[in-house]
Amino acid sequence: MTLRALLLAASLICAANAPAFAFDPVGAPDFNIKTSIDLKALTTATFYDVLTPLAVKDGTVVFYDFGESEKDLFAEIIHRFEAKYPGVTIDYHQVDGDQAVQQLIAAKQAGQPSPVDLFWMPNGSVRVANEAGVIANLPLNTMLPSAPDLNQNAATVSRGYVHNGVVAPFHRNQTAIAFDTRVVPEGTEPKSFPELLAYAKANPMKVAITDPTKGGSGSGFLETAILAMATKDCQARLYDYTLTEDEAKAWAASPCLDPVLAYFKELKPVVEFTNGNSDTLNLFTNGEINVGTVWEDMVFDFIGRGLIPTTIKARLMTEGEVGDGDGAMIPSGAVHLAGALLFMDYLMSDEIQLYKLSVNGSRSARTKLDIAKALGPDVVSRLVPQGQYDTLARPRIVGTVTNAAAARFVTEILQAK
Amino acid sequence: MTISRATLLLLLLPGVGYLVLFFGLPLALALLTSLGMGTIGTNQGFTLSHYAELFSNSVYRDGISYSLYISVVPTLVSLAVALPLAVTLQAAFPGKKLFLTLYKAPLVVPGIVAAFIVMILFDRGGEMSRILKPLGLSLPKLVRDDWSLGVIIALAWKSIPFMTLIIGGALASIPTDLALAARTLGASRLTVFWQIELPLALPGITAAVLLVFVGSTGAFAVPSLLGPIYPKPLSIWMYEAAYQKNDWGLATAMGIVLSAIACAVLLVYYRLTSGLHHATGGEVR
Repeated sequence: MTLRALLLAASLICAANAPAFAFDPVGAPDFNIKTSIDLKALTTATFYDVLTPLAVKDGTVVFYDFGESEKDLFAEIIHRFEAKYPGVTIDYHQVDGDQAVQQLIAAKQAGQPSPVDLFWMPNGSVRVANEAGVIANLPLNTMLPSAPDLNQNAATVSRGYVHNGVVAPFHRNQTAIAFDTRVVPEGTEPKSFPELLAYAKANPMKVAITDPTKGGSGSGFLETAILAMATKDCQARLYDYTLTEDEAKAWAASPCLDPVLAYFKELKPVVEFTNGNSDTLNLFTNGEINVGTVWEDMVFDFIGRGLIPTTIKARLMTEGEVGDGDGAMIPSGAVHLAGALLFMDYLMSDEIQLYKLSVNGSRSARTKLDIAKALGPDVVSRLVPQGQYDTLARPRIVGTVTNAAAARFVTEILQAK
Repeated sequence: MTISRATLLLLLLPGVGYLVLFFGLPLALALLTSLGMGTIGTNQGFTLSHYAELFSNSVYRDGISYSLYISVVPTLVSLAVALPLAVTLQAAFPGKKLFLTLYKAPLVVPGIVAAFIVMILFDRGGEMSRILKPLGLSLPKLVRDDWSLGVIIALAWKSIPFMTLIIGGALASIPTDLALAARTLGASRLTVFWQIELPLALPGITAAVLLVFVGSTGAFAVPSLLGPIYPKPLSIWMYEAAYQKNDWGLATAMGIVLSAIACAVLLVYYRLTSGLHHATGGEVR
């Protein structure tokens, strides 16, 4: 037997056993969730055998959906899940994400169990929820058998905040620049920051920029501008997740941000700043703007529902654009853990990750997913071109830097007359 | 008949108890939280840092000014429309019954719906723009505009019927003999209104102004949808501090400041009506 054959055999044995390691709690010696399940003994190999009977015994999983337009998507997912796991039902609630986080914090402070077992939550609230201790410290980035191939940044960071895997990246989305092909034929759209500024100057008030303090497509645009315009030295800290809040404020107060603010100063008189992502899209509907900052999945969804014309296309700036996503977590006070883990695993499975891409334009953090299966002509026409997504999508920068930059944007751009 | 002190206290208990439990206690808790000693959020121990941040940060100071702006201007606009409307409604005219029903419609429309109505009608490319465009006309910017005209329209639209109802009630309670007597003595219709009806209806008018002002102070949905992206009213910063930053100390400090503004207006109201009370020998109260 040759050395090569021996190494191959050893690799195969390792690969076969690799997923069967037990899980460690995230950031603490013990899990912060009360359960009869021996979580430290649970492995991906025993995941379904251990959890399925317990989930059936519990019977119900309470699920919160913070999204505004995913009700039909989840109705179908829940239907499929309940068919796959007879005896486990999902008690679905559509909630306001920020308020639900406060509800969980209040329940924890009152020593009460969590009202929900699984929560698809807004990414911007992950820091608040995790720092308040309401997220179970389960290593969801490694423990779900259905999702062994997660992009590690997406699986451990939410809006520039490192949570180390306690939130599963169920939904990924991408900020983009949208344009109306009726007035801006494909190929002639502004593709870079200089081109966007030139277009805005030539077509005053025909470009809409979402308020960076109010809509993700606006703060994403600000982050993208920072990535494009800050010097190399300044950029070194943009993905430094050890940055403290004071250091982030110091970064934003430094000359690092000056070129970005200079760009916005030129842009301000010739563009319309809008009150949110939907506000920007409404101006497309009214035919009042030709170009605007958007979320890719919102464009997909709005076109699908006939809320904006099919002539609206989205693309990424050639400098690269930031994307993000909203993850699902299990609260530390959850009482139906087995069912919650099974449902979480199902949400991250090939079947559901492809389904939501085809229905809602929701991207996946799964790196080995065969997305060609979901990309029919109708889906492709409503998404950012796949080639651009593969090469120009960037993770969001550190959240505290964004907040500090947005604060300086308010005082130097918006307050200035 | 004399009532014992204990009986009096017992009789007062439901009303006073209700006020203490559902108004006094939450307000006291909010005040304590704003001072770092509350039960919501982190207990820091006594601090004035939230108030210091509120008044030292120019963004929040602009928020206070803007909250006052979108309270005062819609109130004045509402008064300018409601007062003549209430006077007109005292008289009989054809179709009055139908008008009396229709003009109250905004009362049952929630603020957020009013905001969407204004947005659909007056935003860039909205319904009014489409109607006016073939005529070669265009509207000024009414949504996300620097003067918050859309906000003023929506808030005033909601408040006018409410104000008209209260002022109309105050005008209706003035004995008609007074106006008739003044008319027989040679006073014009306008003189009767300025010299007799307006002073006598002033308590009702100030009450209406006060209630509309206080209602507008905490407006959230309307400025959020129709206002400029800067400045934002304190109510929006308050929501952001509480729900997005989990900074309940700052959020409650903002709430206390908004409440203090409303209380200050209330005191002015009592001062005004008290002055009127003395001036008219107690008749208007």
